[in-house]
Amino acid sequence: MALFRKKTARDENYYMASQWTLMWRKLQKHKLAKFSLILLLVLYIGALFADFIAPYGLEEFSALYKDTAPTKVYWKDEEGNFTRPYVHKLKKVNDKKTWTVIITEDTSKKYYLDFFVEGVEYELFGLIPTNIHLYGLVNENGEADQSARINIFGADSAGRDIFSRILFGSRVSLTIPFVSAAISFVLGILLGGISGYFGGWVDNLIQRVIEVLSAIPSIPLWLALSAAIPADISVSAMYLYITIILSFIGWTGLARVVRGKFIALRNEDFVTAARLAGVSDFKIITKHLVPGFLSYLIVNLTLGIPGSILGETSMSYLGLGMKSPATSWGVLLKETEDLVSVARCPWKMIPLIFVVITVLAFNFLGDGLRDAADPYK
Amino acid sequence: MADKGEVILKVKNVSKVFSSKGINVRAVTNVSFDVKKGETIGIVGESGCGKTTLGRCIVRAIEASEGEVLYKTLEGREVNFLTLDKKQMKPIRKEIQMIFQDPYSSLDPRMTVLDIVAEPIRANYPKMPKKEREELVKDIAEKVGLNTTYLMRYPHAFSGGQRQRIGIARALILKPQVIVCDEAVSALDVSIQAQIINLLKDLQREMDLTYIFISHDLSVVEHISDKVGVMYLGRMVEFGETEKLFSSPRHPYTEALLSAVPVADPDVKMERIPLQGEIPNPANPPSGCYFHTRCRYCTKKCTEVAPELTEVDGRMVACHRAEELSLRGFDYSKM
Amino acid sequence: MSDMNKPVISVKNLKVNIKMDEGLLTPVRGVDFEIRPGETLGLVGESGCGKSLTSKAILAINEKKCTSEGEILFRDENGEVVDILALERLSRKKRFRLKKVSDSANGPAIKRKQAIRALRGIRGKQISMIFQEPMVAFSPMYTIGNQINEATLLHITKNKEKAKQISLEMMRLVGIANAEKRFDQYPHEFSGGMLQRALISMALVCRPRLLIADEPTTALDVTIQAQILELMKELQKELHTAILFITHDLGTVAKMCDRVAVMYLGKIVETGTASEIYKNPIHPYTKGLMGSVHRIGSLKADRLFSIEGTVPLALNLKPGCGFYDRCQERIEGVCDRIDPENMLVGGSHCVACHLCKKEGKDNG
Repeated sequence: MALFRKKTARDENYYMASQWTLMWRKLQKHKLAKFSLILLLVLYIGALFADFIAPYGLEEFSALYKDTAPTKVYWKDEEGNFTRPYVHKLKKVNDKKTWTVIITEDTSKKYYLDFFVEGVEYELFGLIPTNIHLYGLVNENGEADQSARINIFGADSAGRDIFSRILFGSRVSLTIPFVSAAISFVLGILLGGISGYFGGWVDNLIQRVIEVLSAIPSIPLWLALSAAIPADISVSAMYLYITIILSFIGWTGLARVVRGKFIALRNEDFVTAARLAGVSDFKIITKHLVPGFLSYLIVNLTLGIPGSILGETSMSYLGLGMKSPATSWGVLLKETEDLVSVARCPWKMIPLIFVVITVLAFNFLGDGLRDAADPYK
Repeated sequence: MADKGEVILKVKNVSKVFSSKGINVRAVTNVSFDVKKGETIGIVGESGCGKTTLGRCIVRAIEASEGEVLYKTLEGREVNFLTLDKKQMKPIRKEIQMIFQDPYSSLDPRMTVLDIVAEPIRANYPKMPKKEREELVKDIAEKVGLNTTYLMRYPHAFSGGQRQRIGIARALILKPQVIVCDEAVSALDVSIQAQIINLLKDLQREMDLTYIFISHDLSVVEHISDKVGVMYLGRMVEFGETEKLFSSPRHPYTEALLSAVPVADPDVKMERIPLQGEIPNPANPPSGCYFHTRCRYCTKKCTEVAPELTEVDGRMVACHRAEELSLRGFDYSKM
Repeated sequence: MSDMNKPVISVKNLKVNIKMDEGLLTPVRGVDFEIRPGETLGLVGESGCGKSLTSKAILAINEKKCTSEGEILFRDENGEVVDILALERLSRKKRFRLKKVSDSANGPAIKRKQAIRALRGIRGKQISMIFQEPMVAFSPMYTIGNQINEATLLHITKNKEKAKQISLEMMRLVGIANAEKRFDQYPHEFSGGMLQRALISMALVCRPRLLIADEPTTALDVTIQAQILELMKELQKELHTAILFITHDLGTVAKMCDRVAVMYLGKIVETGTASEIYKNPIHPYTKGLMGSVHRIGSLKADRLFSIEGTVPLALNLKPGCGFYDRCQERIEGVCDRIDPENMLVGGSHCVACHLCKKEGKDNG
C-alpha cells in the first residue's frame, strides 16, 4: 500500500482498525472475560505440557498410596528451623490392638522436593523423548527417588496421583469440545448457509431436520449413540466417536443462527450495492455475508463449548464415554459416585472444581465476546 | 451512446406485485415515462406510494413483474434492461447504478473505504493491476470530495455526509450513465444535504449523468429535477416539467401535496388543502381512480373508471377532470 | 393574572457533561431560554448539537452517566417554582452517602424520596413529551386506550370509568374519529398519522403546562405532517400549553414557532422571533442553514449555499467559538480564542458572535 501511507496518530489507529482489532480492544475492556481468557490459556498450556508438569505418568501407581490424602509437605525440620521443603514416605504399620493395617508416615527419611527431576520416560509433544518432570522428589544424595510419592491433590483408589490425572484428563476434556465445536461449525455454516441462501424446499427440509434433532433430549441421545460404540476399540477411536456424537447436537443451533443472519444480511443495502456492481454471488457470500456473521458464530461457539465439556464429562461419568485406562475429568469424577468415598476422600472432588472453573471461564469469555462482537454499535 | 437530450431510458408499463400468503399487493402499477440523457427526473410521493420499489425495479435490484425498461447502451444499442440474462447483463449492468438512502447500512462495515469503492472495479475488470485500480479510486475519491488520505479507514470513522460521498464514489467508479438516487439525501442533516445536492449537480455536469431522483422531500426534488413524477398508491398520477407541475398542478393529489409543504418563511401562510381520510390499503385499492376516496373534486365517473395518463397542458396527468379544474400551486412570479 | 405571563420554564446556563474514556464530552455547553404559557419555542439544530439532551434534561430523564449543571426552573400552575435539576440531583443521591452526611439516617432519605415523587408528579403531568417515532413510542402489547389511560390513572383520577371518559375526550379532541372503537385497538391497527395523534393525546391528557415535541413530524409524510402541525397549534390555543418544538426542519419551524433558538455544538447561537431569525439571520451558522434550504418557487440558484465540513464531536473542545472551524467569516485571533457571549441586537434578537459586536462598534 504505497499509495496511501499510514499515519500513526492515535485516532488514525482507531479509524483504520478492522473489525477484529475493534473487537479485541473491546474484549480487553471486559475484565472478567480477559481474566477468563488468561485462565483458559493456563489450563490449555497445562494440557499441552501435561507429561512434563505431571510428576507421574498416566498409569503409574503405588498400592501403598491407595486413597491417601494430599501429601503433607514440611517446611521446617525437627528443631523448627526453615529448611528445603521435604516429605516423608509412607509405611504400613500393624496395629497390635485391632490387627488392622494403618498407613502412617515413615519419619526416618526425608525426601526433598526438587524441580526438573528425572521420572518416567515420555515424549514431549510426542517428539522429544525425555524423562525430566517439572517437579519430583529427590533423596538426601540428590538422586531421583521413587520410593516416596508426592500427590498434591491426593491419590485415587488405585493409588494414582490425582493431580497428574487431572492434567492428562484435561487433554481429553478440553479438546473434545473444541473438535466437536469445529465439526459443528462446519456443519452449521454449510447447512445453515444452504438453507438461507437457496430457500424453498431445501430450506424447509433442513429446518425440519433441525427441529426434529433439537426436539430429542440430548443426554438420552448421547447415551443411545454411545451405546453403539464397540467396547473393544482404541482410545483414539473412542475419542473420535465421542466428538462426533457431541457435535451431532451442536450444529443445529448454529445452522439456525447462520440461516437467520444470511437472510438478514442478504437484504442489506451494501449487499444490493455489490450485486448492482456486478459482483458474483460467490464473492458476495464470501466477502460480505460470511464475514458479516463470523463474529456472531464465534460467540455462539464459545458459549456452546461449556455444553460440550459438560456433555463429555457426564457421558464419561456415566461410563459411556472415555473409559479407563484413558482418562478425562468425567472418568476421574466416577470415583466420587458414592457418598462414602466422597466423605472419606473429599480430595477426589478436586476434578469437579476444574470442570466448574473451565465452564465458568468459557461462559464469561463468551459473554465478553458477545459484547465485543458488534463493535459498530 | 445517447447524445444529450436524446431519450436514454424508456420506462414502459412497469408493474410490481408482491405476493405473500395469497395476498397480492400491487406496489407499482403501469408506470411509464421517458428519461433524456443528462436530465434529472424527480419521483415524489408519500411513503408506501411505490417510488422506492419503482427505483429498485429500474436498476433490477428487484425483478419487476411486468413491463420493460428500454435502455440505450453506451454502444448505442437499445436493450430491454429487465429481460437481459446474466451474460448479456454483465457489460451493461455497470451503466445503471444506484445511490442508497441509508449511508450506514449501505457500506459494509468490514471493508476499508478503498475496498468498498474498488469493489465494482474488481468485479468488472478483474485483470486490472492493483496500481491502476488504486489510481482510479483516488481519482473518484477526489471528485466526490473525499480526503484521499482517509481511504485506508473503515466506514465507522466517517460521518453520515462523508459516508454518502463514499456511496456516491462507489456508484460512479464504473462511469455509469444512469443513476437512481433513492432518498439519497433524506438521512442527512440540512447543511450536509446541501453539500451532497451540490456535489450531485456538479458530478452530473462533469460526467454527463442522468439521474432518477427519488425523494419524499418536495423542496429538494424541486431544486434538483428537470421533470417530476408524482406517485400515489403505485400509480403515476402526474408527470411533467418541474416548474409547470409546481406552479400549476393538474392533478388534485399534486395540489394537496404541494399545499402541505412547509415553507421556510414565517410570513408565507399557505392554506392547506385538506386530504380526507387516509391512504387506502394497497392490498385492497379502491375502484376507479385510486385517489377518489380522498379527492375533493370526485365525481361518479371517478369512482368507476380508472383514468389513463394523458397529455394535458404539456404534461401527463391521470385525472378525468384535468382539463376543467384549475388547481393551485406555487406562485413563481412573486419571488 | 401576572402569573399567566411568567415563563413556564426557564433554563439557565444548562450544561450536560458525559465522562468518557477518551475525555469529557460536553454535548450541552450552557443553554439559556424561557418559554411562556401558550408560546412555542423552536429549538433548531443538526444532529449532535445537543437539542435532544437539553429536552431530556428538562424531564430529568438523562442517563445516569450524564451530569447536568445549571438551573431548570419550572413554574407550576400555583406559581410555585421548582428547580428540576436540583430535584434530579437529590433523587440520584445514594442512600449510603446520605447516611454519612447526617446522623439520622431517615431524614435525608425521605427527602430523596420526596424528590423522586416530585419529579414523577412533574413528568407526564406538568411536562410531557412527544417522540419522533410514534411506532416505537407505543408498546405493541397493549391497546392504545390502555396506554393513554395509564397517564390519566396515574395523575388525574383513580376511578377507571372516569379515566376512560377523560381519555376518550382527549382522543376526540386530537381528531381520532370513532374514538370508542379506536380505544380498544392495538398500535399496529393505526396508521402513522393516527398513531402520532394518539401520542399527542397521551401527552396532553393531563393538560401539561409544557409540551416537549422532539421532531414530532420527521417520520411522517408531508400531508400528514401538515395535519399534525395544525392540530398541535389548535390544541395549543385551546389548552394554553407552552411548547418546546425540537426539529432540524426549518420549514416546520417557520410554520409552528413564535420564537426560534438555533443551536450549534451545545450552545444557542441565535435566538429571536421567527421573523427576526428568518428575515435577518446574523450568525454565520444561521445564515448557512437558511441558505442550505431551497425554497420552492424561489429563483433557481444553481447551487445551494452549504456550510463546509461537519459538526465536530463535543469532545475535549478547544476554547473559542464552536463554529470557528466551519465559519467563513471568522476573525483569526479572536474567534479561536474567546467564546462569544450572547448580545442583544434588537427586539428580542440575540446573537452569540464576535461579528455583530464588530458591526455594533462600527455603527456606534
